[in-house]
Formats: sequence, C-alpha cells, structure tokens
Amino acid sequence: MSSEPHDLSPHPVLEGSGAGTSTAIADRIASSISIGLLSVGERLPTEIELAQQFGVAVATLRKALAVLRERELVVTRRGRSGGTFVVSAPFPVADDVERRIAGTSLVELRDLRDEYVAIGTAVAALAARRAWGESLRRLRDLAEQVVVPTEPSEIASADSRFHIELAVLSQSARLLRTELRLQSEIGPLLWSVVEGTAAASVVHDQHLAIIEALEAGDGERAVAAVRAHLEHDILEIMDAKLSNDGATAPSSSSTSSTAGAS
Amino acid sequence: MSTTSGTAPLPVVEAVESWFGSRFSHLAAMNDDFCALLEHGSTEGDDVSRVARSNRDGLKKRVRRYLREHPWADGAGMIFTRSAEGGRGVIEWWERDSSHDVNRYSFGVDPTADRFYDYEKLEWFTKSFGAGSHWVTGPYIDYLGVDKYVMTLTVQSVVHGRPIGVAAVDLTMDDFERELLPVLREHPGPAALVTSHGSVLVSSTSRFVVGDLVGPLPPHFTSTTIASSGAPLALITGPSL
Repeated sequence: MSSEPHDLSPHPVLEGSGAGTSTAIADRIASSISIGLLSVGERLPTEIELAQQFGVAVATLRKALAVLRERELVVTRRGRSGGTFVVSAPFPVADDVERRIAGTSLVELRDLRDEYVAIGTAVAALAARRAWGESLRRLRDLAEQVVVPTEPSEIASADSRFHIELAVLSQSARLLRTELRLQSEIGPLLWSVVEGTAAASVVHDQHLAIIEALEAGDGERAVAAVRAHLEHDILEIMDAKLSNDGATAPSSSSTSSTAGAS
Repeated sequence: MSTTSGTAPLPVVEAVESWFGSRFSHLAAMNDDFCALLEHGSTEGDDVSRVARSNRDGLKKRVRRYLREHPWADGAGMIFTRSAEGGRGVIEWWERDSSHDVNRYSFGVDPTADRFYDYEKLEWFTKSFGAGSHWVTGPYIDYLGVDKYVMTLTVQSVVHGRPIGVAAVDLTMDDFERELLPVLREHPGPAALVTSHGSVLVSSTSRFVVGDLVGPLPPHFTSTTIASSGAPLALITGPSL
C-alpha cells in the first residue's frame, strides 16, 4: 500500500515556527505512518526535503522529528547508513482509516494479501525448522498478550508483536524487514475495522494453532495455520471496505463474523 | 584422512577449541577489568543500578580497547540485572559503525514502553548470570536489541561478591563464518559446528545450513564436544569424500 511517492504535506499551509507548528507536522507524519503511507523500516526524507515539503524552517522540522522520537515512532541513527527511520506505527484515527480504505481498491487489497500470505507462510516454514531453546515459550507468552488488552490500539500492537516474533524466529533478516513493513501497513487498519475483543479471541486461537504446529516441528501444519489466519485478516478489511462503500454485495463478515475462519 | 576409527579427527577439533578458548580468555580479562573498575567506584551497599553507573568512562575506555584489538567483534559491553521488579534495565554497550568508529548503543530499557528490550529473559543473559557459566548463544536476530543476526559470548560479572550481570561480545554470523569457515575447511571432510539446541553456527557443507536445526546425524558422521566454549557446542564431522 505504500507504493506511491510520499508527499507528506499535500497542503503546506502551516504558519509560524512555534511549538504548535512542529507538533502539527509531527501529527501529520504520525498519521501517514498510522495508515501505512509510510511503513516501519522506511527512512524519512532528509530534514531539508521535509522542511521544503511542509514549507517551514529546518529548525522547526527538527523539533517535529524530536517529537516523533519522543513518541517512539522513529529513531535517528548516526553513521554512513544513518538517517531517521520509522520504527513503529501509531493507531490511526477513524477518519484516516475510512479515507484510507475508501482510497484503496479491492485489487490493491488482494495484492497486499498475496504478499502478506507469501511472507507469513515462508516465515512459518522457516521458524518450524529453526526455532530453538525457549523461543517458542516466549512466542506463547506473546500470544497470551493479545487477549489481555481491551483497547483496539493495544490489541493491534500485541498482535503485531506476535507476528514480528514469528519472523524473528525464521532467522531471516530480509523476511523480518518485510514482515515489519507489512505489520505496520496492515495491523492498524485491521484492528480499526474489527470488533476488538471478540476478534482478539479468534486471533488468539489461531495463534495458538500456529504455535502448536511449531512445537510439533510440523512445518506444513504451521504454514496451513498461518495461511488461514492471514487470509482471514485481509478479508476483514475487504469486507469493511465493501460495507463502507455502501456496496450491496453480501459481506462475509456480517454472516460468518470473525469466528468464520477458526 | 584419519577418520577410520569413527572418532572425530583431532586437528579441526583442537583448532575450534583454541578459537573459543582464546575468545573467552580475552572476554574474561575484560570482564575482570570491568568488575575491578566498578568495585573501585562503588561501595558494598550500593544497588546494581548505582554500581553500574559508578565508572562509565572507565568501562568505555576498556571496551574501546577491546574492540580495537578484536576486529571480529561487532559490539561488546556489560549488561546488568534490573535492581528492582519493574525497574529500568541498564546496558552499557558499544558497537562498531559502518565507518569503524565505536559508538555507544542505546536500548529500550524502560519496561513500560512498547519497544522494551526484555533481555533478562534471553538465553545469553540467563545462562551466564544465573548459572555463572561461560555461554555461547545463537544464532538469533536480536530484535529490539542491536537488530542484527548475531551470536553472543557471555561471562558472569561479580562485584562486591555478588553477581550483577554479564559481560558480553557479539559477533555477526557473517563475521563468525569468516573466522571459522577457513578452520573447518582444513578438515578433509564435511564439518559443522552446532549448539546444544542443535542449531548450526557454521558449516563447511551445504548439507547443514547456518540457523537450521540438525536432526539425527547422517551415517558415518560423528559429534565431538567443544569443551572450551562453556556451552556444550559440538563439532559434527563426516568422512572425506
């Protein structure tokens, strides 16, 4: 979903250079991250470029980046391959989600699902043959965290953390990078459109099915469990789009609800 | 060439033993200096976080020297147990950057934050801090840590008579391969070094790939313990083709 170039400031109408301006810029960048226009792992444009985009002084822009660092959304690294990188996606506000979903075609969503499932199943297959020691017990701890919170934003980050850990256990740095990006694009949207705690309990069961397959060292079963889980996630977003657009097509989530895939 | 008896041939085992033996002795020497510096800068009643901060400059100078002398090391430092339940973690860690400068690396040590690095649950911490053993952990992607594919060598740190954490050195798996693959290739047949969990650390045969867990050994392969590594690593060797 982040294939288009990022113009973070379509309306560079900000004035002045006070704390209000830098906070407003930080909010706008945060909002772009929350709906997947900028995803985890991406490097932000340079300070000079961003300052031009927003039409503010570089000093003001620097303050905005400091705000984002304080909110733990970005980190700035030194050295030759340094820069400011997105490390975490904040939970989006309802208006942003609606606009994002309305502006994303079903074709794009299907393409996103294809990538999500391809990466997720590859990660599961590798984790099945590489996870060692206590790592699956830690994965189980993370799975339990999904049913603890009641706020969708907290459920979203617990769910993402589970999937990121699965990618960590694959021991593939490339797949982990891709998984981090996908989680930041999909997680906040998903948990904005489903009914939080009910969906969390379904997801929890699906996560446990994945863990059991991994504990048995059964890569094929783990792959099948991940596929069912991830396809179900994106169907939820597709259904949300169809119902938001006022389409008359029957929505599978209204008939089978979130329990459908478990 | 000399694999007829079914026991692993000596030279490659000795070479791997000696590699780990020397790495651990350098790490232990740095750890002794760390502990002496902190003991000097603190008193017996101080809690761990106070001890940890009692001589940061001293630790830094010592790590810089260590990293200068050991170009295979990606990063090194000292990691402290959290003094109190829910308290902040303390990690004094330095790593080489792409231009070979040494920089202090900061971790998410606030347990209430989203990106908390919960290191006290990780094997490299528990084995050396809890059991006091020298330990080799890996391979793993250190997510929320240094975010690289690494293995970690650790020893226990004791100050004023009580364990307060561990001293550690990270190697990226690429660097470890650069160090050990030439050693394994001296062996006329295939050889792979695996951890006690069965994970391959380095291998001179595509039959075993780094990171994969090895199953039952193929026929005519033997496994020999590498004693100097603290952790029970094993060198798997096969007959020459």
